[in-house]
Amino acid sequence: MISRLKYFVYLILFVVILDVILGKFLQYTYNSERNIENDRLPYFYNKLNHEVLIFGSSRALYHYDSELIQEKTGLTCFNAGFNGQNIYFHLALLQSAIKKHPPKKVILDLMYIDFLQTSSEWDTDNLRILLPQSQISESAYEAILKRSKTEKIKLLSSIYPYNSIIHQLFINYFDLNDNDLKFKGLDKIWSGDKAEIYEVNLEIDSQKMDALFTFIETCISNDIELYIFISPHYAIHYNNSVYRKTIKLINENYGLFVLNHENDSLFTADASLFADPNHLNSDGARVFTEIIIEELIKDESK
Amino acid sequence: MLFNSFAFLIFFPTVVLLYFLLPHRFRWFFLLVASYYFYMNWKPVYAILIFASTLITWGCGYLVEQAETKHKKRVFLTLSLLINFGILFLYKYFDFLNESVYHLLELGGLRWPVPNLDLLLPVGISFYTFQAVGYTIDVYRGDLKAEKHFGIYALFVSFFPQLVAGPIERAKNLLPQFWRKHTFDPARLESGLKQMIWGFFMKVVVADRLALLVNAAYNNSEAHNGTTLLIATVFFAFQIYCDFAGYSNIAIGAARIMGFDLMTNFRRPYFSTNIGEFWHRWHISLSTWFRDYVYIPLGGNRVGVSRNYFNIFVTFVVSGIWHGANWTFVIWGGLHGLYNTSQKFLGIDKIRFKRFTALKATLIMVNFILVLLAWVFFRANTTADAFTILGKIFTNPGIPFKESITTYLYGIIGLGILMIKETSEEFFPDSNFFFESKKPLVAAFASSLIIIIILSIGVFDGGQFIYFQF
Repeated sequence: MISRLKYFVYLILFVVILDVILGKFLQYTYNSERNIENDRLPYFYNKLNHEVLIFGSSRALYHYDSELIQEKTGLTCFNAGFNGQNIYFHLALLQSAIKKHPPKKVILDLMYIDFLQTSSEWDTDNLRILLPQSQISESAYEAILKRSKTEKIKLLSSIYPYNSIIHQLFINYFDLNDNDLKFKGLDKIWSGDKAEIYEVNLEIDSQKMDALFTFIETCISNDIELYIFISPHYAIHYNNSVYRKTIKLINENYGLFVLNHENDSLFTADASLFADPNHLNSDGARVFTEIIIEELIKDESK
Repeated sequence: MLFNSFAFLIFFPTVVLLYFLLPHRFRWFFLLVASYYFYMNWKPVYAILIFASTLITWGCGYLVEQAETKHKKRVFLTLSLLINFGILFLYKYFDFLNESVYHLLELGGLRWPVPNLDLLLPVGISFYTFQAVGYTIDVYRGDLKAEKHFGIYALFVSFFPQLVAGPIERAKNLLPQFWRKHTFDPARLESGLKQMIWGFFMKVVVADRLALLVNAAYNNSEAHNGTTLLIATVFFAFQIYCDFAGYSNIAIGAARIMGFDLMTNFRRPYFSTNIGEFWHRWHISLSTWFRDYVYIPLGGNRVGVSRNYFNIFVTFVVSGIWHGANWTFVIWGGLHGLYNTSQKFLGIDKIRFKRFTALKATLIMVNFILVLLAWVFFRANTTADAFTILGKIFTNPGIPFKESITTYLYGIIGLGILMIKETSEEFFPDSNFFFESKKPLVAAFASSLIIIIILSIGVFDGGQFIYFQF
């Protein structure tokens, strides 16, 4: 009988062996990133030792000049903002950072995708970026499981975490430019009208709120000073009561003040500080970062 | 339950294991329960519809056979056709017809007060309806004895591997197989598994990857130039092929593992040199169904030339309508009818090739382009979109849309592997090349490479198969 099942037996053996070998090779390639600019995530998980960490979406990435913060506060600073990511992602990164090298201060750039119900694109889809880390980080693994019930099974494969990024791994691996931690803001200048943002029947997502509160509590329990900002939009907001409700909840539960610059007239009156209605450009980031630094220094001098 | 889902990965091996462990006399019942469970995973209440269709066609088949006069036989056949197609019409075509009448009357300043039904289309209704109706017609024609065992017949209609997207089986082929005792056969396990693995590759690596650009371009055609739309159309040709043929491969492979032989549904259609040949290679179960139950009853080719062309054209238009309730599908079917009749008129369908020549290559290319033009209508959301897209393809070149390098890179890799395998099968059918090797070690290595490729570049959140919407 066994001889008649040769194909089946060989198939299982080949799949397991190839999966393990290729998976290990891809893991090595992924973690051997040569240029931080290509993939900041392996850097974050493998080499992070900064005193100030910034979390958020692309708005964090482009709004907070980490070099300026470093220069003015004397504290090493890493901007861990990532395009399209929400609180699930930020929490996974924070938990991992605390295990390796707890920061002194954390800045969270809050936006609506962190606490409101959204489409899957802004919900858990983008967490796939954490797949390679799910093999070495428990918090990344837990975040990945939010994507679907089947992730646990798929993650039995050593190759699956590198699904659809294999070409990028090889590009990164052979990119021999020097490591670069410099802040890279956006260069465009917005010349259009203000966006109009309506509160469009979006409801609070209780799971995201839980994640947000866990984020806050994690900082508090690890003696990390937490600063929550809502950075500027070049927009007119109509009825953003959900933001106000969330800010109030944070204040009531944790005594934390969310520094809301969403409608800050310093920015909303000057389109030249924006690259698009949702993102400050380099000039705008510099101005905004100075405001952040004032808050950081204020607390340092207490 | 989708084939490309975790639930199916648990369901199928469990069913196979229990199937072979059970005594033969209980197997039909077990498979029937498993098939209904499989179907009810979508929307349980729609099991009532498939049961109703089963009951009506089985009952009518029995009555047709028992009827003493031709007239009575015809009455029961008509009853079966009316009820089954009536249900299909209500769920699939009523709203389309209703809206068409509404818009037509609106042009004349008149109001049409009938509201739409807004019924959700039950998965697979077009497939199992045709399969069940085909049975009644076969009994009426005397090609088949009516199945006395209702349970076996119910299994024929609901057999899970081919229930929701074919192949549309013939009772003569499938029904007897449920009576036969099947023993576990390692050779069938091997060939069935190979076919399933290849089916998953076609779906997850090729179809779902190409779909990313196709959807971006076709769902927003005004924003894209002709070059992007042309690439998207070519991608769609392979997306729909790999999606549908992939499903068929999984269905046929799954059935084979359990001992059942389903009909081949695709045979490398893009190697066709004319449209007639294309339809002998594309969705074979459907095209033969239309040939036997629409084209031949209309007179087939046993009539004058012009009537023959009319029969061909009507058959293709009906085939288009089967695919969907939208004028785009009617035009698509009509185009194929036009192609077929034109090629018959020019005698292109009579050209035979003993070997691969430049002329054959040219005809393959020309045929592919004709099929491609028709695919624009098949995929476009509206006829207006289709004409816009065609117009842009011919008049508005530009730099292709940078959807994502992964779509192009992995899509082309997937297509390359597909081409190698299909070219080998088409032109070197006895070569037993790599995937088809008779040596278990080589065949297993080939299959394992396919699985590794699926894990590396497959799209895992690609969603359901295209033909589920039919």
